[in-house]
Amino acid sequence: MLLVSEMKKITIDHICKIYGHANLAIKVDGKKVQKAELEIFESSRYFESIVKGRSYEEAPELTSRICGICSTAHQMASLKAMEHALNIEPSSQTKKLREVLHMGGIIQSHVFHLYFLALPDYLGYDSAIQMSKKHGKKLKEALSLRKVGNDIITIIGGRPVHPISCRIGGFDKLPNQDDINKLVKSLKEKRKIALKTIELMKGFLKKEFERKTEVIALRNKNHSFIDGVVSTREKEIEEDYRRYIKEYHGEPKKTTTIEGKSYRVGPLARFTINGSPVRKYNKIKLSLDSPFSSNFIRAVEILYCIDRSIEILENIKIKKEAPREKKRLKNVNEGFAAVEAPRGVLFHHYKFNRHGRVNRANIITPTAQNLRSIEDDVKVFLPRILKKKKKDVVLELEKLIRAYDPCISCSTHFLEVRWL
Amino acid sequence: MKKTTKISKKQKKLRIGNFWMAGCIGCLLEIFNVQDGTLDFMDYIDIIDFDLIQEKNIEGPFDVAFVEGAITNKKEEEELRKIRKESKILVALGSCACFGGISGLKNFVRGRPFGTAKPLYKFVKVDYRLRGCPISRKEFIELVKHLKRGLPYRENTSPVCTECPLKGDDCFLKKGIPCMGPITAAGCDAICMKNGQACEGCRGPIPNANISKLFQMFEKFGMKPRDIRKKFRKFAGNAFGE
Repeated sequence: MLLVSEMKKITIDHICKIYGHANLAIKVDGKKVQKAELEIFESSRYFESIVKGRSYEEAPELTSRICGICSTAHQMASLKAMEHALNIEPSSQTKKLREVLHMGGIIQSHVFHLYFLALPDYLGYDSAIQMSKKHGKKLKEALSLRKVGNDIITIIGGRPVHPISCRIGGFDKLPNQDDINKLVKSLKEKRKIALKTIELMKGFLKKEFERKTEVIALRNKNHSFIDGVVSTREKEIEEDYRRYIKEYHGEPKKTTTIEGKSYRVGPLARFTINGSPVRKYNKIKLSLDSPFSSNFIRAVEILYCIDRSIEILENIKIKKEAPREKKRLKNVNEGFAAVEAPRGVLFHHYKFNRHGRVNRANIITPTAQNLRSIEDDVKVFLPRILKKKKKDVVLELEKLIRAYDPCISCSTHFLEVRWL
Repeated sequence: MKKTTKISKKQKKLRIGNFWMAGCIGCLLEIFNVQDGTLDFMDYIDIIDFDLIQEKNIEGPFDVAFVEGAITNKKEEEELRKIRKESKILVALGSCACFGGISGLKNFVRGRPFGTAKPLYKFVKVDYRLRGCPISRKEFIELVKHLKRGLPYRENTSPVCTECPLKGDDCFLKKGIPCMGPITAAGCDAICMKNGQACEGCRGPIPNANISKLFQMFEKFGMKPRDIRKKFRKFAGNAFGE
């Protein structure tokens, strides 16, 4: 059996169970990893150029199509950026409904990742489909937990992929109270499965590998995924993000650094900055510098989203209200917003001309921010496992990459924006 | 006895492959959402290739291949041709695959600095189309049921208006709001109108659509021709005319 340490080049072709098409290319020299690069062969769709020249009203609908998995997150970020530009403050009902809608997106994305992409690795299967014989019950439960996330988006947003009813300033159609009550009931039922998921993921917590990096997440003491101040470990950066985050545009991928170094966004970053969203789990021993902890944190976040949704929805009485509008576009020139997408902080930034058309758009997705950190992790992690068989090395590396739940399709599709 | 029935049931399963070109994966995710019981669905389809959830993907032949997204480069084109060769039936999944869709919007950037994104039919024969952004789950289930019974599937050719709940004075067009319902193919259950939005034409045109009449109507609403053209090509490429 050929040991990896005797080889010079490794490529993992077409990493499966991630959203998108990517290879990992590694060059090893003795015990040192000289190069670790995620090669992306996804083609670009150039959303920044697509929204250019279109009305500010169209951007949320178009940018939603960046990603079918986190379409709610893109929509929320885009809507918030437009409201920031127009100086519209949505009603508290709108804010609450949006928060729940967004958490529906987090639930469905996290459950899909944990059970259908990550779990097969840990249980030694190729895919969830093969797991169905022995772990059918688990998967059925997972599907019903995921469904509650989809139900939230359907009831508040109209449909699970690319929601329809959200609009700048409010909602075109408000959910009816009966549906909300039903939703609360099913959320309460599914809470058990969320707890089980936490226990399941706790079992896979191992102190395997640590690498301390800078992190970026929204700082918010209520752990809201949709509100907060963009922060690093020490600083609050908010709209100043361009001063701190440097963007690199390769073809087709976009990557970012902070002070020349890679940084992490996502579950780990959120936990580092805000602590556990469910207080009980603050005490648990957990390395916040190990990407392998992410899956456990995702499970905790699912529980938080369920609890928080119940809390909001139980205390809401839907009252009819029209979206808040502002037609005067004279002084509108720039809008910025950041939300916590399932994979980490997501930036939407637009500039407009005097007719309210998008002049420039800049969108930084979580995976674009994580790409360099993934590569740096591989460089540190690989030497420790070089003694293993190639098959195992590949599996370990794939586990590491998957722990970020990368969405390759989100990390491409952008073009360099020159800000004037 | 039981054993033989099981085997014959297995043989009847459709071997399907799911493929992803330049798109947002939303349509494939909708296929996954079909179950909110994919596992029950497994009783009559056999997913052979779905690299999103599977490690070892098996090569064809496939009874049905679902292809999401538009074709933007040589590699995708080659893959598509290979899929066509190995599949009895090829289904274009979603508006990007059918018309170019949102992925195809870069075709309209002057000088095409970002290359092109073309619908599948430009390269290979497409047997069926599931239109929409994203696809309608109901239509997907209909199609799979038809294919399993070996029946041909017919696309919906009536306009979205036939499914729209907004009658009389509630109609968007009556209110002077541009809505593409009259020329867009139904099958979506008018989901946008049910959620308070006008039709954006994501499912492409019905046969013999009176596009110029709607164009004139939008002009009367005060839209500039340039903007109307932009609206028409948002989801359906050039399907509504150049």
